Amino acid sequence: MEKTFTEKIQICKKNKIAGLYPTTKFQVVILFSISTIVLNSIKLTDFKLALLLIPWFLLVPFMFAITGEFKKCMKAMKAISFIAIFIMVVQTFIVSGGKTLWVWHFIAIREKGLQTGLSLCFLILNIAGIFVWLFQSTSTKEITRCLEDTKMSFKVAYIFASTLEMIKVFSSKSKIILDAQRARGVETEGNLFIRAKAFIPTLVPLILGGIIGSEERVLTLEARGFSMKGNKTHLFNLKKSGYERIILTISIIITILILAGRIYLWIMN
Amino acid sequence: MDYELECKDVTYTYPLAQKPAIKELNLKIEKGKLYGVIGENGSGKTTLCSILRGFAPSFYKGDLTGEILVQGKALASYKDQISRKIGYVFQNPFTQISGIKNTVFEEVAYGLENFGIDVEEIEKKVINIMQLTDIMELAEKSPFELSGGQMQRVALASVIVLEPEILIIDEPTSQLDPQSTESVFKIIKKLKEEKKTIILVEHKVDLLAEYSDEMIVLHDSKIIKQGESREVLSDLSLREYGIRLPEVTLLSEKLREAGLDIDQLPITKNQILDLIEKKRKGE
Amino acid sequence: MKDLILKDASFSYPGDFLAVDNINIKIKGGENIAIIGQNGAGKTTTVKMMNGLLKPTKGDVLIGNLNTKDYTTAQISRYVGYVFQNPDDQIFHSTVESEIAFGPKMMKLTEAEVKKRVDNALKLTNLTKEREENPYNLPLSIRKFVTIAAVIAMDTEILIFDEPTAGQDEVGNERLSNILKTLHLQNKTVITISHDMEFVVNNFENIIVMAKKKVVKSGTPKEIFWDFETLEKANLKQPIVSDICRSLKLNNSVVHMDDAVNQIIKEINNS
Repeated sequence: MEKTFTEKIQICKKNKIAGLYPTTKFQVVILFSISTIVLNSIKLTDFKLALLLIPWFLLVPFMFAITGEFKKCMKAMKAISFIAIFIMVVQTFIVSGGKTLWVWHFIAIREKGLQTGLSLCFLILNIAGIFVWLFQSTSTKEITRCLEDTKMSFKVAYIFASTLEMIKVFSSKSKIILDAQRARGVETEGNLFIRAKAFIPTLVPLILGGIIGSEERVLTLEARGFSMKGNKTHLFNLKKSGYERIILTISIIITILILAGRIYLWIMN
Repeated sequence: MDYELECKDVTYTYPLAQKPAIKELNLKIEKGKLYGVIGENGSGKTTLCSILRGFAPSFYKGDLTGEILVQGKALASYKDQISRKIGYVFQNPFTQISGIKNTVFEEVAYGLENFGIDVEEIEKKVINIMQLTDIMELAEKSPFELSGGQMQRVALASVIVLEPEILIIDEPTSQLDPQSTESVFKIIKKLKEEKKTIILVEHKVDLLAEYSDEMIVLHDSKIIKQGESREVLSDLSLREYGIRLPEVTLLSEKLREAGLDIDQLPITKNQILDLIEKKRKGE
Repeated sequence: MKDLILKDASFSYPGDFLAVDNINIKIKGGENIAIIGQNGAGKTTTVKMMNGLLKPTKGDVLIGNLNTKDYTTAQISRYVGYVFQNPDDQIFHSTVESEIAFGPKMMKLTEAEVKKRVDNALKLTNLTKEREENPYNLPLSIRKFVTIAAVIAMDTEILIFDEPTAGQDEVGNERLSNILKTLHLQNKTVITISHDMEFVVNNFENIIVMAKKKVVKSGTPKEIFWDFETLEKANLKQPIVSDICRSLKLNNSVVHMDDAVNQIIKEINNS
């Protein structure tokens, strides 16, 4: 038998981790971030480096892989890694204080610099990485639906979903506007300075157009019962993959172990 | 007798405006009829629509005096249930897409979701309406990928699916090509056959001559003429108010000037063909 | 006067979506031409090639002896003006006057010349009263005339209008008609896309019909609107007056109302 439209719009994921309920994924993200911050406070070696963040980071690609979204996630990580490494280099060479570890002509690495550089770099990689996992394995549709289910107002959910859609619309709209300005003699091809000059003629119509459009959109939504009180139906519904409890339990246990380790170290010192 | 919509001496002024946008409006809308609204740009057509739906003053604020009744009861007393009574289709197809749905099917279903209708019921209703508006083959497409004409049909479907008894449609074809315009009018014709009451703002007066029962003419925030379409659209004095008359009316007027004896000017093709046929036979 | 020539021109959008398929058009300097056809027929892509916004992926577009491939759109904008369908895609100044002055200023003209151009454009489009207004306080249909004035002020030899009649009332249509007439008298080349067949018949000497990415036919209104094969191919209808004459079996290629009146009166008197 042919599927109904309502059946067709449901999301059905084979991978049980990717198919986790968005709330569970979010809880994992929070626990992971807490653990990262705790690990960051454990300083090892004579130079007091947060070295534990490095093996901890291995978990991120592992999560990518078991979700079955390794390639997609790694692509998103490229830009983040670039920023993280850039910050590490800058911090390492610039921040002064503590012992000087290494000198070559006027370049020097000092203890403080290495500490902040390393810790910032891996804090970013870990926390940004786990968010990449969340957003690459969960569609806007799922997140919106989940927001609708939480006690938060349906208006918040609408704003979240429509903003993401509008970004796409804005980028195609800005192409049209750019064309319109080129047709009036605004140069848009060439060096940075030339492009910068085209900025205002493009931005003003884009923003004004957005404002004009949004007023009418409010009314059109209203005409379709947007702020109607009472229960709403949802054609699209989230399913649990069945692994929510296990994953959450594992995450909690790991977090508790890390916390316990941290407390143990405090007591010992 | 209760009218579908009734305005008694309504005057409305937008916030910060010096002059009212609609003055001394008196209007009686009967069930099952198609009312065409014409007038120059800026004469108050869209404001009239907003008032009849209650957007003015509830959304635009501003100052409204007089009385508006929907099926005999005050418009304000319907509160949020008004969107089930009165459907509203706007001019710009693009702003009518909710912006949060991935498929046309979900887009059309959006209003029904808000109303809390059962899932099976929604599926059935949406399919019905998609067939009526001829968008079945678009059901699984993204609303953002559609052409203007397709978007406008989706917008119509999204409103009709709520089964309002009264429909207000504000210049639905101004951005469309002749084929898309025709398909929108085909839908409007079907709605008329279903005994819906329709208020249609439209510049394409030749189409209004063909489809409407009654006409409302606005000028400078006031109704200057209203009545049966043939009577209104054959009134040559309307040209002084910057209103275009149907081609057929203009042609018949020229025939009259050229010596043909015409009593009431025809406004549609069939009417003028009939007339000329009679003259041929020497009647 | 520069002729505008599209020679075996095709255009494909990225991803190999063919929008215009091998068309040949020659528009003489000073001609006024309407392009008609269904949405998706390739009209907008064609006119965008005429001002260099799109460069043909095959073939050439020549403005006089300039090949659009060798110039940026901004450079071509000195020869070809283009009025977009939606005025809100281009307006960004806070007064009508400064919006219109923008183009001439980009051309680095003297202040006196800019002022002269702006005054002329305001007069021609009947906007002198709105000179100091913020364009966004004017209704959309009037904003459209602001963008038309902005292009007129650039004083190009060729002007392109994409759907100028959309959303206009009778007064707006007449205003537009007058503008087109004046431009024609000034010997400008005017190319207009329109869906309004009555407007086309009353304002243009020549018509290009497009369908399915190709030019189907070009000719005078009489040649186009009584060629039923062409109309069917392009899914177009006759203007109402012609359609009535056809139903009456009057066989004289009527497109204008006055001709129709003569024909009908003659017919009645004969029978």
